[in-house]
Amino acid sequence: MRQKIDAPVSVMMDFNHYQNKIKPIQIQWNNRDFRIESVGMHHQFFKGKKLFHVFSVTSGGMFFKLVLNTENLFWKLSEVADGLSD
Amino acid sequence: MDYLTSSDFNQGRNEKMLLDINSCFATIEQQANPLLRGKEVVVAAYENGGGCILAASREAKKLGIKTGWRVGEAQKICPNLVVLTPDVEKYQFINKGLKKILLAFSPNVQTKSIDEFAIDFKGVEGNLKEIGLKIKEKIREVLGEWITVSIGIGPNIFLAKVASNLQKPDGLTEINKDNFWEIYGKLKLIDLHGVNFKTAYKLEVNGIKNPQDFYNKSRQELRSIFHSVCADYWYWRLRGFEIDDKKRKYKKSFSAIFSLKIPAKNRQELAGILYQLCLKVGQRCDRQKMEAVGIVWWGGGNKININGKLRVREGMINGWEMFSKIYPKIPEFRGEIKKAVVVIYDLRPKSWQGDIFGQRQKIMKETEIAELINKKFGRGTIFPATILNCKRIPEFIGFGNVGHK
Repeated sequence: MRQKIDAPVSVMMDFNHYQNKIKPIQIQWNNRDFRIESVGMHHQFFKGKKLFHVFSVTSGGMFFKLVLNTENLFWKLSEVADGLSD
Repeated sequence: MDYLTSSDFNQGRNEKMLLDINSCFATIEQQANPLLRGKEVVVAAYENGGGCILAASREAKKLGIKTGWRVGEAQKICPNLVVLTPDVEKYQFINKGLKKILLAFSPNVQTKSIDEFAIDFKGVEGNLKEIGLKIKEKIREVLGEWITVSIGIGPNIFLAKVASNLQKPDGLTEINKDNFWEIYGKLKLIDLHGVNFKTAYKLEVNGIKNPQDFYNKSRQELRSIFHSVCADYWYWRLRGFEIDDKKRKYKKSFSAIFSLKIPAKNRQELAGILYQLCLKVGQRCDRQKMEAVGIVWWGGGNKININGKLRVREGMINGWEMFSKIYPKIPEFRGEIKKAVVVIYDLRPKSWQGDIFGQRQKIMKETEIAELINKKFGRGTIFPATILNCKRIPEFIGFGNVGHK
């Protein structure tokens, strides 16, 4: 089941300055905390001149697609899925 | 009876490599979402039963599900099939990332399509098989462990492509002067890239049953079959000489096609779709600093087929101008348009010369401003007022192009 949503989300990030690596470690959505278990992919895209960073992450058997708008530094949760067919 | 004359096969060092991402879109989706790994996944144009499958994961392919099938057909075989729609930005990102990796190994990297690259190792030292293994390792490290590629190595791009198809997924195969005859013996004619069923039939009628027979034919015999320069091309291709590595400076035409999930039922709806397709081809044309002299548009569906073609004296410089030319020609119609196409042709370098009345300069200025806004806020931000309420078409990508610079 996959659901496209466009909701604000709180994201806790970790930046490792030794390895120059950035990783989301926890998100808060719908008054629930989700500890990030794995980051499947981190990609970027431009919409016009705006740069967006997308983190595809999993937590507790759920998949979350987190989008960071670098213009205002707001996070949005754009997709939630459970990895099963609809 | 074999007429093997290995001496006329290219005796030089293998310098061409072709790299192909296995089940491209589906694998990328599985990379992004680890919960999908090991499951039957397809990426389709639409999620409903009529959607065309663009890519099937390895697991889905094992069940016999193929690219080009309808989602409904695949769901009959696999009820638990996970159906996803394309995420163009993700695929473009992987395409760019892969190109960056390949450029570290050779400066001559050619993007063939969203999932395919041709690499020329002329002047680059080292064993290509070892380089291939290093590329695979780098891809796992940078792009992700689930993304696998099939690599083919050959004396020309054609044979490198044939080699890349021999072992899937995650293959690394070489065709060279020592093993080409054995490989030709195992292949069918339609396994050769560029030979379709029609060509295979034509060859079979002329006594060519397999690639070995094809190889054994002289140039004269091939000319009597093809009646064109294609005979020479095939003669050299099969012998490992490069004739496909043509670097065209400019493209001759650009096209954009879109299949509508919800059909267009009136002129305005069709105009909205054609406008967005014009923007797409216009943007590509603009990037190449070209202008188009000819434009063709087409809308089709069940029992309906409307189209138009026009040529202009002064070239059209962008999507806005292209649409303004075709808009008055779109007729009112009854029926449902399910597919729309725009093709621009007769491209030539952009001319900045205006006319004496300043009309062209005015159009150029207006369209330039509209394009600047579209560039800043994203394609399709500005719409002509007449089609303001039209349906927005999502970013889409077809095999054969990469969708970005």
